[in-house]
Amino acid sequence: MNRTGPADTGRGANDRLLTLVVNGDPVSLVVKPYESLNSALRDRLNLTGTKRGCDAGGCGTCTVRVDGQAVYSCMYPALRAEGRSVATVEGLGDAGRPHPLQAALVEGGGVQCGYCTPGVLMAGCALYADDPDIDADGLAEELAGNLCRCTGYVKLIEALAGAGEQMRGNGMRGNGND
Amino acid sequence: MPTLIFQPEDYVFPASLDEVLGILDSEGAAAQIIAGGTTIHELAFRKGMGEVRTLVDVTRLPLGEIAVTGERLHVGATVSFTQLARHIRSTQPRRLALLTDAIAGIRPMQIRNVATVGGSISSSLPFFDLPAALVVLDAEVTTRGIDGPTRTTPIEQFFWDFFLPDLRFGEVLTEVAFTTPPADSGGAFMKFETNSVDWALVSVGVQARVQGRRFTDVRIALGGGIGRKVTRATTVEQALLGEPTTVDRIERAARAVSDDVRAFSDFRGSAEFRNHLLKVYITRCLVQAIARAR
Repeated sequence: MNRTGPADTGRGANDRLLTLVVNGDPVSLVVKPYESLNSALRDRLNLTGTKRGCDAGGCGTCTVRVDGQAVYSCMYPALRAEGRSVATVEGLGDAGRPHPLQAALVEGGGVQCGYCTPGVLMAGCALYADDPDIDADGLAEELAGNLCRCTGYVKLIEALAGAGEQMRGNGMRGNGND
Repeated sequence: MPTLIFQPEDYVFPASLDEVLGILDSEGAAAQIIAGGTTIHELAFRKGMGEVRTLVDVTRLPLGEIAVTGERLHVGATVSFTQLARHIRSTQPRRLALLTDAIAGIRPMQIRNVATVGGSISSSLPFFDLPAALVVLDAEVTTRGIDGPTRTTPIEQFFWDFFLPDLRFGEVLTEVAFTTPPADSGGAFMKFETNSVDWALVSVGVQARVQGRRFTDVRIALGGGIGRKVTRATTVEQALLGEPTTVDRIERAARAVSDDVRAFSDFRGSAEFRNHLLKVYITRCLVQAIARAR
């Protein structure tokens, strides 16, 4: 993959060239000076797995990882990602080979409408990478920045915690796409 | 097409602090510093960026270090909340529990990972948690301007008014420093909020020194919807000095908080409710602080 932004849309004098790594692949694209990483991913690179929710840093569905850290892509300036490694839900697993967290959400009823799912997955990966032993209480506490209006969180958290046990058994740290 | 909420003409990454000061000097109000970017995003989202044409990103400058000299902690302006909490947990977890409490209460980790210590201070908003905790620690804020020498201001005075820090034209906040509280003192920070991403109704930070089961030093800072800036509960502090550290005495002293602040009413809660919360949370904080002081 070597995605490049559309060359002939929205170009102007203020365009900036941005080079970063997305899901392991080097990418160069053109962005505006204060364009969000969310816009760069969705509107330039067509990586629409990452959602745009409240666009104000509160719902969490836009969560991606920048150099491993979970951030809200809606308020992360794209230019700040220059030279950094960005991980999105597209890099987690394939249709036939889901990441353990993805499989757990599907099997455990942690997905209903699915809108929060990409953000929850990326936040969950960051949490397990930081602390492989994080338990259900810790997950519930740290996922405060990811809203889910369907599941009531119970099945969501149970599924993620269950996946943790499985990943610890396999010696994984949630780094499906680092 | 890209989604844009606000478009400046330029977004620059200066290579040095002198370069930042030069840009601020030549562009004036048309240049705005951006660090973690959470407050800037909110301003942009609310169409409040005014005449800003250049965003000056300071996150690549060497302002992201934490230096320890003796008992004094020097925290660079662009140190993130996550970095500061990690440093404290690995060095002085008990003596600076006030700060880790405050940071843990900033719930979305996505915010803690980018938001900076300097940004939270220079926003000068009473709703922010870390600034209130730093008032408890009597921190000092260091700023630099293009001509003048480095200036150091007690943080209480640095919060000039609502959204108005004591940051003079062309000045940049570079560091905040504070002394680690003594081992026979304890601190705590708590807040009451209706959800984890909204402003708190009230927030309370305390640090109390206990000798012979009596208070020998108490500092209490209040934030949230309690006024235009973070405010010390000096009447409560005075009432506690020399008193035994019993819940009864603490509750009695906490009643005086209505002399220190004038809480306001909004859709989150009434002034009456906020005054009630202040008394409850000052008491809870002090009880926890005493437990930690031992």
